[in-house]
Amino acid sequence: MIGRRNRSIAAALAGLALLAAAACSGPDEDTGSTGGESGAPAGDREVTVQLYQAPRGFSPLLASIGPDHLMEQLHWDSLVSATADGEYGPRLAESWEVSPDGKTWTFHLRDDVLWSDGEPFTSEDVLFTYNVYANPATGSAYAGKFGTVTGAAALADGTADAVAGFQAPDEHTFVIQLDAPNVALLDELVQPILFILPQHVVGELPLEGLADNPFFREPTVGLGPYVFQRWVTDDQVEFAANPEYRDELGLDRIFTQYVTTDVATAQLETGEIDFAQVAAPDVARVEGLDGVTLHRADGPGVLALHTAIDSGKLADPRVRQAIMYAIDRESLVEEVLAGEGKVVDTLVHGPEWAMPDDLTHYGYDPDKARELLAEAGWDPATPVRLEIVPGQRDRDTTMTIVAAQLQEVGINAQVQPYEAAQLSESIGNRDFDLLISGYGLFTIDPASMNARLMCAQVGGANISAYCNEELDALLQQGIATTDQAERESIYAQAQKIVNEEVPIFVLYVPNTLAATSDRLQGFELNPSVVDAFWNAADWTVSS
Amino acid sequence: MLAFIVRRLAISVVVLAGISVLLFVLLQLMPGDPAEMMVDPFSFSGDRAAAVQQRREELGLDQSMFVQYVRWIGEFVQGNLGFSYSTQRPVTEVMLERFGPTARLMGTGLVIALLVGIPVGILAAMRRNTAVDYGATVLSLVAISIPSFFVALIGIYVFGLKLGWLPTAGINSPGGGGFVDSVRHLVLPAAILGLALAGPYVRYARAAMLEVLGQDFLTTARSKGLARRRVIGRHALHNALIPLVTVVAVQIPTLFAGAVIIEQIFAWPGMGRMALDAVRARDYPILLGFVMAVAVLVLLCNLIADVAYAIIDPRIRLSGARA
Repeated sequence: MIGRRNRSIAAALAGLALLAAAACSGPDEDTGSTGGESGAPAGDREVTVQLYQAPRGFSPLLASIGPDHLMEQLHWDSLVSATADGEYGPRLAESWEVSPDGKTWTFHLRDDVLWSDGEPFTSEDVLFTYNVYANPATGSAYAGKFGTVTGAAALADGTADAVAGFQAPDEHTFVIQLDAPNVALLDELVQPILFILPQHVVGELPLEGLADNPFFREPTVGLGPYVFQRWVTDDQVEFAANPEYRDELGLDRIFTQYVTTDVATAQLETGEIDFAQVAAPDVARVEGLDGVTLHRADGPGVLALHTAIDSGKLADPRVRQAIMYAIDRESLVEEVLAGEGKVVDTLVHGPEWAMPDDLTHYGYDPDKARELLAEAGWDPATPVRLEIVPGQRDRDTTMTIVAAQLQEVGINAQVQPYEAAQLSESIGNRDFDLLISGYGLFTIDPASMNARLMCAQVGGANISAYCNEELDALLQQGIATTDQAERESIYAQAQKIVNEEVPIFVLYVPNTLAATSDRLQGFELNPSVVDAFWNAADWTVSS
Repeated sequence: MLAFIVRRLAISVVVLAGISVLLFVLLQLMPGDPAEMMVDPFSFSGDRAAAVQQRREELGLDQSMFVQYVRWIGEFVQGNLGFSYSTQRPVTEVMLERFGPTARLMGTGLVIALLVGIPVGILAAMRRNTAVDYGATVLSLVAISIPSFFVALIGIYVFGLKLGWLPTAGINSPGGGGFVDSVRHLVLPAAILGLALAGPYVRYARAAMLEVLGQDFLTTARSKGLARRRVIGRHALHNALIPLVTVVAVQIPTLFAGAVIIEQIFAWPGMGRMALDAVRARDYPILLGFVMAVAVLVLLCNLIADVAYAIIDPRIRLSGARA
């Protein structure tokens, strides 16, 4: 009796404490800024844009996540990036050229660029930054991109302080020297975008573990059009126009706000937000909204299933082909994506010249799938997991349908919901059967498949651990050849192998969809979802 | 008295230590490895296994659970809760930042629940078996039965989208926005949280009031010729409120659980949302800090309650000393 009363009094006191705290915390004392009228979306020259996940900060060295990468496009800048037309576009580098042997890349940098603190941007900054990227000790997630740069190995194993192949012959020239030719090097620099860091600030920080330095949570110096000001809350960040930016800017401030796409769609309707991503099922609704523009582009990435080929379960190519035939991918695009996508048969699905016309199309053919499974001696009792992190409507539905269609042809498939942490772990443990993930920029140059399919990338970005010597040789040749006709024939062969071997099960290519309020002008949709803020310098607001 | 407090404190410390051990074990049993999570397999380029191993060593995750625990508790007693795995920020800083919004939401919700629930319940008891009573009963049952996330979505649709009276999510407009703006953002989530809680309050207030109304001393008061207002206002209400304090207190955890859901739906940057994000990201330091903070708060309140009770009623102190 006494104990119970004690507890209730304690709980009552806890309640009082909370009330008191609520009274103390009150409304925001530090409004700090002129947020405009209550309820108004933003001031005259301000826009609010959506981030679809919680951001961590501005460290471009960490393995990229979408929200960080988007914020970094406002705050930092890079040598090159992918444009809306699906090409490599100039940014800090005005132009570049590759030597005929494919081993020397020369970047000519702009000479009119200042950091937001007024210091000039020079090739020394680029040199410093690329050395940081290439050095695993900094915690860089991208050291693997520079394996063929002259002297990169010496840096990685600690026998050199800098990569010999990165050179800054003058203030506005940066050179990358390679041991093995790579005519498609730019692909490594644009996905994710490798942002340049200020040597005069970041160079003062300890190199060891630099990727996690608190500087990147609240960076004091930037190079992009809108530089970081403050974290308004943990999921709202304020950016202000960079006073030193090379062009005139149309906005004073930008706010990024982490809200789910469902909420963002509602906020578009009420005018609380000016940019949001759009889920395919919502397209019709968003198109019907007044004062909102829907942007649509052919997607450069894929939604695909991945298997640990080294686990042996789906090692037989005939089984993998059977899986492709068993899935009605055209219907998936129609039903799940409301037609907002297309079906392709290889990871790389552009540009036009890299697409041979003799590829096998995996149309829906359950009989053929059963035939192939029988030929391969497939045991229908073998359990096959369809691993997914639930929460995105289109993927959830897709997986349910795929499971049913695989069962139809005699594959014991079950959807296995995971949390993101479990998914990463299962990849580390090499224990996954058909793991769904969407990513990539596979339309600018066919060499974009190298990171996913070459033997040297096993243990890294080649998460399937697919390794085929014949394909490897072709892909090597592909980046060593400058002659366009020759490249075309090399990739025709490579694509054929990928098409037949099915190292990765491409389900479909979703369209890239986004919406903007009519206030926000100058927005140009980049097909790459994570590059949506690539032209923020051109944004303005309509009066 | 001092001996009593010291003994209670000692017990609290033991309980806290027990909770921390349990938490540590539970976290280890959770599937998924934070180090793997920090090196995203789809964007990482290079030797991923080495990078994961490097992370594991940095975080001390390569040590045995015992060593990890000793290290953590050693820092904890010095007031250091460590650093978030995903943002590298000090856990105390993150939690303090998140506490304000949660307190604002829960506090307002509780006030709304009390202001609505108790008067309605008392009114229903006094007008027993009338339309008022039936109406209150039906509405309170509706409030109890409909999940708050559903009400929240309806609320956003009606007040945010269709009528455009209130913002749809968030704690403020971009950049702050001032007092009025904060209140506008608070109204909908706090009202939904408060009304969900008001349902049970109506039921309890009605029951407590009815019980008191039927007791002999009220009959006596009435037969003495006291004014109805005085009978109800002074004698009945006063006695009915005592059990209600217990009920209100017992509902506080429910309030907290409700706040976690509401924070999620309204993109409210409070502790509930922080904890859920930390679970997904396997951000152990944040999770440990969060649960320990809740545990400390509860134990502290218990202690204060015990002491206060001991002051009021010396028998507790004495029986405690004998035991």
